[in-house]
Amino acid sequence: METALQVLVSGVLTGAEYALAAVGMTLIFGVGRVLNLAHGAFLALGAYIAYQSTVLGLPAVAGAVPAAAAGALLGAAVERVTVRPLRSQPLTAAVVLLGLAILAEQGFSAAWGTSSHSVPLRLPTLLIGRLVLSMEQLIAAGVVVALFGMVAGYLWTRPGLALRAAAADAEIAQLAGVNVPRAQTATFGVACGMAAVAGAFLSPLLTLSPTMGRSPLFLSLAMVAIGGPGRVWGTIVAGIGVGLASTAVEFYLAPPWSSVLALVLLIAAVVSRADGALGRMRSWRRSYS
Amino acid sequence: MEALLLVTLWRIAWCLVPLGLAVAAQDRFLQSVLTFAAAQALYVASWDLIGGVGGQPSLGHALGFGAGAYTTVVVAGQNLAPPPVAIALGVLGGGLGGVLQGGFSARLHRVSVALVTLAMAECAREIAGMFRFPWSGGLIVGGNSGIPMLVYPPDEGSAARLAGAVLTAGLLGLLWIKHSRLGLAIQTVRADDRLAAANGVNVPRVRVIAFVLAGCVAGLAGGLVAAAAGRVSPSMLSLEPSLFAVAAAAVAGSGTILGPASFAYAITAALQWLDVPGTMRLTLYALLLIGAGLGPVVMTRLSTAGRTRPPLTSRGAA
Amino acid sequence: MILQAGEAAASGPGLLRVEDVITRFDGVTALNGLTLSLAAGESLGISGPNGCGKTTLVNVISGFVRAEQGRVWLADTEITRWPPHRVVRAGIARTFQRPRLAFRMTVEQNLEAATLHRNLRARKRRQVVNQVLSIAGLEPLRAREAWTLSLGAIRRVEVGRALATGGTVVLLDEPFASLSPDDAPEVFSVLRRLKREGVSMLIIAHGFGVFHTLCDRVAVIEAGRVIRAGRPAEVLRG
Repeated sequence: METALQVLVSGVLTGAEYALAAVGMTLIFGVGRVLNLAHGAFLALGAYIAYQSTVLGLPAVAGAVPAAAAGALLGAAVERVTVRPLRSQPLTAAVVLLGLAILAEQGFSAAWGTSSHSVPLRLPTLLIGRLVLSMEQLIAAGVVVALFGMVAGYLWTRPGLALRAAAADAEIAQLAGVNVPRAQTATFGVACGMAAVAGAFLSPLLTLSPTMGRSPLFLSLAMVAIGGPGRVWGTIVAGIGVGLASTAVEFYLAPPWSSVLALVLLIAAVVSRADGALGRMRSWRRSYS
Repeated sequence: MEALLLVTLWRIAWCLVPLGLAVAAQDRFLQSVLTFAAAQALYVASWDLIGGVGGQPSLGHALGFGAGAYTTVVVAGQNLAPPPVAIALGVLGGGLGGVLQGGFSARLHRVSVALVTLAMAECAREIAGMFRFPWSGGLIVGGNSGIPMLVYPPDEGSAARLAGAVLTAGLLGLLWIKHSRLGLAIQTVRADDRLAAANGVNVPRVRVIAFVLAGCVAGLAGGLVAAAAGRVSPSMLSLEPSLFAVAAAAVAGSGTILGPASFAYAITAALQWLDVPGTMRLTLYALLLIGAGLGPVVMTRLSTAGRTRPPLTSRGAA
Repeated sequence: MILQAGEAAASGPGLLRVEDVITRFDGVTALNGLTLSLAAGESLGISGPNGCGKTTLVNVISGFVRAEQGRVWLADTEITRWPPHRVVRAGIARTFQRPRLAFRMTVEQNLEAATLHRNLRARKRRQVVNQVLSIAGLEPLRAREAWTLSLGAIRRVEVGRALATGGTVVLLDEPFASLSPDDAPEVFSVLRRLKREGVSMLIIAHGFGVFHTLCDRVAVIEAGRVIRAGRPAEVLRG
């Protein structure tokens, strides 16, 4: 019973951290109409930066700040250089991003070697009732909740409204004066920053290796597909749910099963959404005439 | 009419080249290189049927390839059939992969097709890496190290000739499909699936058929590779072969069957000859994909740099 | 005659019947209990303001949109929720409001693609394609890639494509939309020829000239229902 509770709480916390990355991906899809297949690479980047922090004697969560900055700047640059020119070809853009993710893997192996690393906990562990939680987890949870609040709050502000307009119909938003390309670049940057932060928070739980970004990529895709592409709250809920399921499966079965679960959920979600969730680039009706 | 005949003869002649090279090669290392080159070319040609001709961007074609390889190794290893038959049965494994991928993606938009096929191949790879089981000879096989089999054909010369012959036959077969009524249906579905439906084409069924055919050929290629290498492993289901197919087609004339196959043949031969390691190959494929994706855009920008008005874009982009 | 009966043979009045069809999209009721019928050999015009459901009607009949309620009949066979390819094989062909062709293929290839489902031998297939090219006046354009054609020619290829599928009923969704006064007569004469051949047609159009000269009857649709139907002279008065 204790273990079940432990798995539940850890699962929810882990899920929330993955959901942070997933929300970034869903925003990129909503505003930029592109699937960021390099999202896992940004998460991995954050994890490696967190690892580097622990090497310097700091706790992993301290790495979240440089991770956010690095993720955001790189993300914005990637968007500007590779995604914007391919705006009219979303599939090509997605494949190019996948290519970049693979190049990133090479970068990671060049910088940190091909062998695995693990990120130690530097802050004390707490015993709350019967639950064992690390300070890292709690700080991460707090920051994640704050970030969710900020994102949701932002979308209700005036500049946030511009983002939502751009997501609903880029052409019309542009005509209404919204600088859509700039909004798309900014969103991509922020979203990648969020993925990197998630990576930093998740790093103590993951084994770091150059290809570590692939599993989180599929997890994020599954969360976005289930929660609704472009829907922030749906993705958060789906993220926590999928994260919880994934943790439970990893605990009660074996780690590779959680990857399989994520993949199966992804396939099921995409296929069951009638005309294909993540392919809903044009409405079914508009392409009918 | 004469032009058509010439083109057809030229194409048939080109298909015979790999067999000719295999027969002519004397050096054993070269023969081995040509074996793998031929198998990879066949694999990539099969992708081109669904991806190039059919416009279904599968990012998980490794599923058919790997399933065929595993089928061949299991059949041969358990002595269920002699090795040549085991290789041929790779067709079934690959076809099954095609049924699954085609069945799930037949009604999806292109980006979703890419995702679902990618996810299915990854799923298969994870599962293949998870299970270990006892094998003949008291071995425990499976998992990430894969399953061994006796190399077939045992000498490099026969292997090269076998692979070359299978490639020649496979290319001719794929070309024949492309120019058949089924091929026209597949191309019409690619051009506009609602139009195809309005022409009486059962769109989902045509898509599944294309996937199954491509899967069968990929499975055969997988069987050849497994038999030549003497082993199958989950890496044959991974991103590397999947992206290789996409990259080759993107760079070398997607939809032409012969273009991607020729490119794959040449590149595989070069990489094998130079003994380039796996991670570098994957990096190369990534660079090719990025180049193929961004290249046309960059070229357009450069060519319009001096003009006052940009040219009209052509219809039907991506 | 290139046209042949499909699964359901043409017979008597009420060849195509739409009964009380209701469809909804995202809360909007596009068709609200629409009923009409098309007799064999008849040309029925469909008129009405934008957004009244004309294209949805064609989509429902041809199987691209599912009717939530109501039925569609082709002679004695109910075809209500049949998928598009099955409807085509039963003998109903359609064109699209915004022209759909395989633009990178030639005119001839486009027409050939339309005969795919008919299981014709090569010679018969060529015969059908040649007949259609002749009827639609497309002979000189047969080897041209579709994207190079004028809109009038594209519309004619569309009509030709619908014919080549071998249908006894052709649904034409605004075949004259966006056509210049120079292009319209080309399409007009093709449709007139079809009428003479006895093809049953349902024509969505806005210009009343079309109805008076091509159609035996006209149905006016508003808010997803037929509000008036009858001879063009009577219905379109005022």
